[in-house]
Amino acid sequence: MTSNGKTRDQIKQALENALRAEFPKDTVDISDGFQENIHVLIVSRRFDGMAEQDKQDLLWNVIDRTDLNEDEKRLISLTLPYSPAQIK
Amino acid sequence: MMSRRAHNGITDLRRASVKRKLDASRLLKHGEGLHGRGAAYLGGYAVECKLKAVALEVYDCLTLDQLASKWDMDDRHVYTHGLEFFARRLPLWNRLQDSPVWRDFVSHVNRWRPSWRYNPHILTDRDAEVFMGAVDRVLQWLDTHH
Repeated sequence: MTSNGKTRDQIKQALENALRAEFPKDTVDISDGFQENIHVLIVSRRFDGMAEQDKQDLLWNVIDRTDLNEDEKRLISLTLPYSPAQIK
Repeated sequence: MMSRRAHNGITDLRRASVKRKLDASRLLKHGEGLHGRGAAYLGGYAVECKLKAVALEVYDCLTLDQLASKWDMDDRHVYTHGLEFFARRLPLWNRLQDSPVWRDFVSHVNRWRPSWRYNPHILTDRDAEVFMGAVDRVLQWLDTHH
């Protein structure tokens, strides 16, 4: 439970909901990291040709628009925005 | 055959971190746009070596094998390349999460994998510079906050 009262599963669900809304037809995977941490993986053609920083900025822009507070967002320990070409 | 126990002591790991960072920076600077992936690959090792050196210092161990004993785990685990696995076990973890370099770690540094050496695709200089910038900032933070 975080200071905002959300459980870890609720935080994962909030991330899933926000990212699903932003990337409705793409792969959105919110998984467990080491110990209590959370990993975020998105595979989308929207990332085609984008620089790594721009991909991260797009992803974090979505995460920062959720109602998660900073303590809750700190559980995210890995963000992986990939274009399909990167995983072929 | 080189044993994994070669260069597993605190002095070698500290020095290797500095050397791999220099290797990466020079490869990027003089790579003519062709060696970003190699530079990033080496840059990740600089962070791995630094995290292991910090762990040895914090837990008052001279070698990774001693650290495995102190952590009461199979010694294979302390030879892992997982940056998150290692960093998460250190007392500095909560401060790292609260630090200005946390998103550098999450968005860039923690993406590093030893398997990058098998990746034949070019990493642009721009992307490699972003990665190495994050590596720099995380290394500097580790230097002053462990």
